[in-house]
Amino acid sequence: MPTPRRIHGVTAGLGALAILMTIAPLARAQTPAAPRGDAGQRQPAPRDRRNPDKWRLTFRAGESIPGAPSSGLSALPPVGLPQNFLPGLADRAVPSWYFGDGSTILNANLPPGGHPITPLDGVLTSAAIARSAGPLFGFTISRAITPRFRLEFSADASRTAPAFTSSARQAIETSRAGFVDAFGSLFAVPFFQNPSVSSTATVSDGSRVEWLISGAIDVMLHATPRSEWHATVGVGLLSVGADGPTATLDGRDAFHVVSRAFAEEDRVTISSLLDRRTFLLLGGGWSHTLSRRWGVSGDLRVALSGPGEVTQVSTSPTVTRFSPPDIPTIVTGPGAPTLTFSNNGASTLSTTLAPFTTFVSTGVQVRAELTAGLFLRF
Amino acid sequence: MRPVRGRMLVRVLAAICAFGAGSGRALAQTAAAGPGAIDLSHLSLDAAGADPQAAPARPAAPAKTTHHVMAWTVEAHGGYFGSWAPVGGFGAVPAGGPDFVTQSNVVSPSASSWYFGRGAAWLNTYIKAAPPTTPIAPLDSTLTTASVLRQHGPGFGVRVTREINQRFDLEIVVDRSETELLAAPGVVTSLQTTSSSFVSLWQRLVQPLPESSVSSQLGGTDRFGHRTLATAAIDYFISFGRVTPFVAVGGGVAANSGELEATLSGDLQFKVNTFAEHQTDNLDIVFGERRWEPAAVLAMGLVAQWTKRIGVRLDLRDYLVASGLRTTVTATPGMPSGSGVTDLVNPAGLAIQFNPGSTPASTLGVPLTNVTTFSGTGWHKQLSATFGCFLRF
Repeated sequence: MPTPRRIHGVTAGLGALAILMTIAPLARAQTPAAPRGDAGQRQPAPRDRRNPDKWRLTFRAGESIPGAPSSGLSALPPVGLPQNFLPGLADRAVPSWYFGDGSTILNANLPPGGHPITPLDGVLTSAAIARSAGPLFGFTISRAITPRFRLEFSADASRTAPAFTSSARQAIETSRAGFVDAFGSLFAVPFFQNPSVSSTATVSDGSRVEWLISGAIDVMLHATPRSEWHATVGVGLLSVGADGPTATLDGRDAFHVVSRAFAEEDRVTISSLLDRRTFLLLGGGWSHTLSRRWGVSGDLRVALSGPGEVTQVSTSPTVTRFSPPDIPTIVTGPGAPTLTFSNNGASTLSTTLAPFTTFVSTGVQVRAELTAGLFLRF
Repeated sequence: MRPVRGRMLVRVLAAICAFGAGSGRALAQTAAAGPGAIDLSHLSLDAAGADPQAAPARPAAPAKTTHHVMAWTVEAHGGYFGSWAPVGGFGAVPAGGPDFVTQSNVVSPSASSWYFGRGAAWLNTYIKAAPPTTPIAPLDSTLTTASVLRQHGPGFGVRVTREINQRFDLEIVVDRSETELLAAPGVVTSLQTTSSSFVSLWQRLVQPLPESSVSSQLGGTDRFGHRTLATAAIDYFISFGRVTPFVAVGGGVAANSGELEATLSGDLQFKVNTFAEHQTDNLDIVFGERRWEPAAVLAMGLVAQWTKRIGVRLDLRDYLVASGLRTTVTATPGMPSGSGVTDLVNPAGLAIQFNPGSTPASTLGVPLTNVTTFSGTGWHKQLSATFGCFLRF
């Protein structure tokens, strides 16, 4: 806090002079800072009027390194209610065979030696969609407001938008293949005639470009005739393109039982809920003047933001209706809820799931940016 | 008088020059020398006996300084604390127990309460066969979203600062804000709606049965609480004058108190033939906040010195407190009395089973103890404006 002082006539002038002379070596050695408590006496650092430095336009390029979410909260969609297709037989409606209760019921009803499906549970309940390091380009325009401070505005584009991790892609492919294997095992029983099973997975990363807009204050910490070191504090806004990463699995199974046809489609979409978020910007940098108008700079900045990685899943199962409708075909495993296939809609696979949040990251998200730039002074 | 003053001025200037030249470099290496270096009230110079002719040639004797650096301040302040709570978070209702086959050979879920989750869902599925019964309004959305908000209110606190150097201070602040924890809009209405729908639904179902009675009581306890913030920060003084602007950044912890507790007590009695059943459905919901949460602080303000020792400070700050909003549920289903296993089977063949014993199960029979259904994520922004008076020592 400001040091108390007495200002009386000559004493004030002497004090001011003493302050200036006392601080002068310090100012020369370090910064043009004036001592606290010296209203009206502060002398700005001499500036070379022939060397314009009021405005700076900096073009920057570098690497942006987002941190991965370290923790999160997760849950799978709730288990469905009993359907009671047949008295005394446990059965439940499920939204998909690819995850959760659907995978559990399917695997429990496979014949001995059958190939179980590997559920997507791990993908849905972890940070399967995450940011990764990528190049960054942008510009900064800054204006000196005092010899010590500069006000800056930056706009950057980085190729770091959320995308499926490699392990998540592998897990999705494993589940896709597992769907074919599991239903292949189930339909191996002669009871099912003309079986056909297919499963496809489409993974799209969408637009990988993120936009970062920030406003900050640069505080000059140390200066030499041609170089300056500064710290940066500011806030910003991170925005991601509308088309985020999505993975769509489409499984189809069909068969005949005594000339009656049954067919269903299991469609699952995994997506990331993208939203704008604010961040706190901290960092520092160095700038070096090459000529009267041009110079180079380097910056290391860290953007801190709240949690924001969200994974959602939605399903839209379809049971093909045939005419005339037939009674359901029910597969029962030992002690497990039954599998019910129907051609009139009353199937185990029957729950349409609106986007359900299965994972939310927690903690502080950290993003580091290391850039080099070329600036123009005017 | 004038010549004397002029000579003295020359001598003092000479001494100051010597002092400045000699100590300036040293001060540059000693960051903590700040205020003492500019406080002339304690600078003692013995120049009275010096020869005016010799003054420019002879360097002044090393100035004998008595730095009384009042680097510490203690401050009491008061003000107003706003609040901006996010609604972000993650919630999920408890799954309940495994399905089971009732005595009437129908599969029934095992639920913890009729008020939410699988119990409410099963009840609403069950009554589809008996229209026009109004379904129960489940509490799922109330349990899985942020249902309390911390309000704005007055606050007070103390601050201790220690000067680091000319531009930087270290401050430690303890603020207590009377920011109460209140229910979010619509939460109380939601609880009331669920309670009344419980009664209307069950009355419709058991009305034809003899000795039937249905009730649902909604109760609550409010401990509005407050928030205490203890933070350490670095103050940076932007310029110097009688009124000095500053910015600050730091971090610390927030100690939260306050919680809202809602209780729903459902009671259901009926008789089927000779079997009399009495079931209770007690639900205890606690909307609260974790006790300790990390906090960051960004601040700006003005400091003005009134006297040598006393000054005032206007402080605007934004406390960013990690969201610790949390909703927990304790469900205690029970059957205080009953005379046997009873199944209520609807025209569609779905069943709700009541059993005062442990086996076979009742549809309502899975107790829960402090199960978290919602956890907040993100940060609370708590803006504050305080005005305080400090004493320097």
